[in-house]
Amino acid sequence: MSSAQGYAYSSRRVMMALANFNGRKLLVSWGLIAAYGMALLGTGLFVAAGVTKDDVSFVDDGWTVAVGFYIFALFTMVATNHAALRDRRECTSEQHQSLSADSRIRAGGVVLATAWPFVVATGLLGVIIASTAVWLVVPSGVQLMAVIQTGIFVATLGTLGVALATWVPNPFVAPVVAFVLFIVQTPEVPASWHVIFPLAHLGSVPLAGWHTIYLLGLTAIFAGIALARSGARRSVVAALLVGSASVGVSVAVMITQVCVGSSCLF
Amino acid sequence: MRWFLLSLLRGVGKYRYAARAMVWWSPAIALGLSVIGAAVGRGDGFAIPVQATTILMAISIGSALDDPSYELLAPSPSSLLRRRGWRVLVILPPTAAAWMALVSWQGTSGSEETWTLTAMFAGLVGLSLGVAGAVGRRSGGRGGPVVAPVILFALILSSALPRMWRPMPLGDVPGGWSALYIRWWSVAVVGFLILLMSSRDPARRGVLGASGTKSLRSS
Repeated sequence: MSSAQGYAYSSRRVMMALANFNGRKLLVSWGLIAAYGMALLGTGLFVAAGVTKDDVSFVDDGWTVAVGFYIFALFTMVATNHAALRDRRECTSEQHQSLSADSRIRAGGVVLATAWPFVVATGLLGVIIASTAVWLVVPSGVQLMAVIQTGIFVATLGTLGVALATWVPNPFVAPVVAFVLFIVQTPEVPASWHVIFPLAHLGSVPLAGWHTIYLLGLTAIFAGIALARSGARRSVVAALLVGSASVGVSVAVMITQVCVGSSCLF
Repeated sequence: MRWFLLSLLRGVGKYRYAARAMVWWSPAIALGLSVIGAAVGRGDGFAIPVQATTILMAISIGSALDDPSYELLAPSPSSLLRRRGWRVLVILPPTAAAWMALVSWQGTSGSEETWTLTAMFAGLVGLSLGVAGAVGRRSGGRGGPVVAPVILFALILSSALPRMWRPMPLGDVPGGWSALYIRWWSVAVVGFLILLMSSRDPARRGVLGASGTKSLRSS
């Protein structure tokens, strides 16, 4: 193994160690605790509807679960932003710059740490869907795609939180972005450009698949932006290119197919 | 006359020192975003842009209590309440003036809505200062970063409740305008009380610790 290969290998190991450490800290941070509360609130409202109503369905009553996990994603962004600003908050940036792990590796550790909330959100959603399938009816393909998108949205906003901390290192910015995402609503009259909304509910499985690719592309772009501050390496440029291509192609496909004639598949 | 002028200058000097030590990024960001929001949403008749301006401007005030030298200044003759009071006096007038200018620029549907927005602004300012004060007391004067997430959480939680029970209503509630005024002014009072409670001398025992002091003295 050459010295360059050895360095890359040890960098990956350090990055993974940092990701595991940051991920575990994220899961018990106050931001994520607020996120669990919101997800539980949404799920609890769905369960309450199931107990009190006779004709409960996932289509009519399951929206509270989706909103709960949407807010889960917002608080994940706040939590990852808070974690990425730790060095600045504790005035330890200069101390950490003297370590062998450079800023790219440390930023990569925080970006990869967003996988932990993503796994938790996906696990919780999986449990809810499995319970719904046993209790009510097996959700349709479109509904399952919507659930998958909600899980991915947690990772998207998690990486956005890190990107914001890297480029706009102010703790006020991420909560404001979360607040804007909370109040922004899809206009009542559907239009094809509404596909850019993160949780746009598309009425066909192929289009929902393209929307999933769109969210994955956004995640890659935000991760690339977060890492680009430490220098544009090949992997960062590749992430930005792949993300941009995914977003561009998926938006083009969705915009051309979502509204056919006078009706839209929302 | 000379004494009056000197005391006035000394007062302005205290403002200057407090203003210099404060972090102004959050109010600046809030003002910038509010101006953009006001320019985009001006005259469309919706309440959301005016409410967003109110919320943004109010929650940015909490960062004014952030004090990196909290521990260093703790034993100084100037009490925590007085130091925080100066900071509030520095941040509040310009922020309130900017908020009033933005709201009048965007326009409201009538005097009732204006008074409701005023109550909402007061409520959120009180809550913002209360949260920043309480968290700052436990985190060495760094409560500012927690203010916006806590208020966002509180607003979402309030919106999840039935209209009748919403403590921080963003829309109509039973009881009309007067109910909105009462609820938001109540939030302001609660927030202000939390600020006062959290600004007591850090070396003193808690409110419930008075008996402990007595027992120490008696022993």
